[in-house]
Amino acid sequence: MYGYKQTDTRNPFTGRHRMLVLRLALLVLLSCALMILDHRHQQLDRLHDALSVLVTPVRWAVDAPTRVVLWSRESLSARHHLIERNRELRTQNLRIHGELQRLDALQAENERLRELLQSARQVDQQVMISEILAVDMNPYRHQVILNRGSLDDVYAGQALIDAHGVLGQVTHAGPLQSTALLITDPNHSIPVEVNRNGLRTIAQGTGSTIRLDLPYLPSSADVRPGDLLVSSALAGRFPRGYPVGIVTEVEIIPGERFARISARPAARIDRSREVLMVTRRPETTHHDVDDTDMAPADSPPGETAPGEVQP
Amino acid sequence: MMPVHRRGLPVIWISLVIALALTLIPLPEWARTLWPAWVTLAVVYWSLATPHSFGLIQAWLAGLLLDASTAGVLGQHALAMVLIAWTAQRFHLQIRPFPVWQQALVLLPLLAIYEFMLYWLSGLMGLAGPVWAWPAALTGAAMWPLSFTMLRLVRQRFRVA
Repeated sequence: MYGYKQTDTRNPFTGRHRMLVLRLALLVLLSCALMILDHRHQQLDRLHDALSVLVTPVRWAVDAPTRVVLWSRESLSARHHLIERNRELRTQNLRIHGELQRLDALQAENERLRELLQSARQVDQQVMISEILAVDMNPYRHQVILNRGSLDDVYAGQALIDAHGVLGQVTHAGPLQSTALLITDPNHSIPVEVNRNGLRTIAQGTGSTIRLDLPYLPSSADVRPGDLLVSSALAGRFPRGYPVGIVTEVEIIPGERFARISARPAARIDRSREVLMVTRRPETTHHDVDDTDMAPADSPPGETAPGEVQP
Repeated sequence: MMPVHRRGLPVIWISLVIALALTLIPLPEWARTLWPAWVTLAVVYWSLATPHSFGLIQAWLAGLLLDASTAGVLGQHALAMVLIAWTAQRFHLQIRPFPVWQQALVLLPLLAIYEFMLYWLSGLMGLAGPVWAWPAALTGAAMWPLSFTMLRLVRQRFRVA
């Protein structure tokens, strides 16, 4: 059917064209089936894994120039720069250690108090450093590719933080690389609480790297600009207490039941390359994922707020 | 030995992978809607130039690869790609004799439809955010003479038929 035949192509209505239409119809149907299976039912993990391994070398190749630039910047920097940087980091390290000592005491005290109150203890958390690859994908989604996958025990739903706050969560863990959705993606929502008074709400991504929206707070809510929003463990996906954003604007419109509140993400959304992946204790991990796997991978289970139902 | 029309396949696929790498290059925010759909340009070229060795199934696979590398829903780019490839193959005898700039004019609506399909399918699946990236169709058509010339050089050098 592939052979080149003059007679076939002269007459537009002979076998070759009919074959072409037939093949088109089949492929269109196949695409639709794939889309439905993938989007509605999330049943194509194997295929996703296989394809993601297939495109891994391409991603590496695209990331390579950035890697080379970073590497050469590191290896070509002058000696006195390095010494200066080293000194800076040492003082910073000392300061952080000092703060950590105080934190240890506080944590011990906190645990004692929790035991007194007989409330559940917080789970231990482990972190793993991974790198964001300099690869551009869909311009309208805030997604990143990480250089670690399920072979490094990355799992879907794992939280991603940088030095300043919550960055996002893993949506798909391929064998070698994984995909993560950032908190600023318009399809992402994260349960948060106001650090000052414990008021719980949901922060939604807007598609802008410098803004989150808090659409579900009534006009009477006690929120002020400058309030720190921290992650709440309500959805069971994000670890509790990491900074998510800082409230920048509270607009109360007379006659409206909900206030218009926006926040600036605490994490450096478009500037971090090295990120931390927060792992829960292994025995709780798998249980967690099984429980939350029913929800679409790109919307955390916290996304049950009114009007947020995906078709 | 491979049949004559299959011998060029590795060359075709290498060009497609290079186009894929071009697509994935990180860009500043303003340039993202202007960045041409390089894989689509390559697929259109091979569909026009060698419709007998580059079939619809391969165009579809290229779309699927694009889906996987953009971490999107599988089948989205594949569907848009197979429609464009079909149009190119169906009318390759009519389009091929045109001078390159006229081919670019023909390509303009095709690329616009391609971008619109991506946008429409995203909307259909309830993904918030996307807009119709028609500027990419303009730049894509503008890039057609360049990619046409490059790919023709490749085709002649490696005798892809």
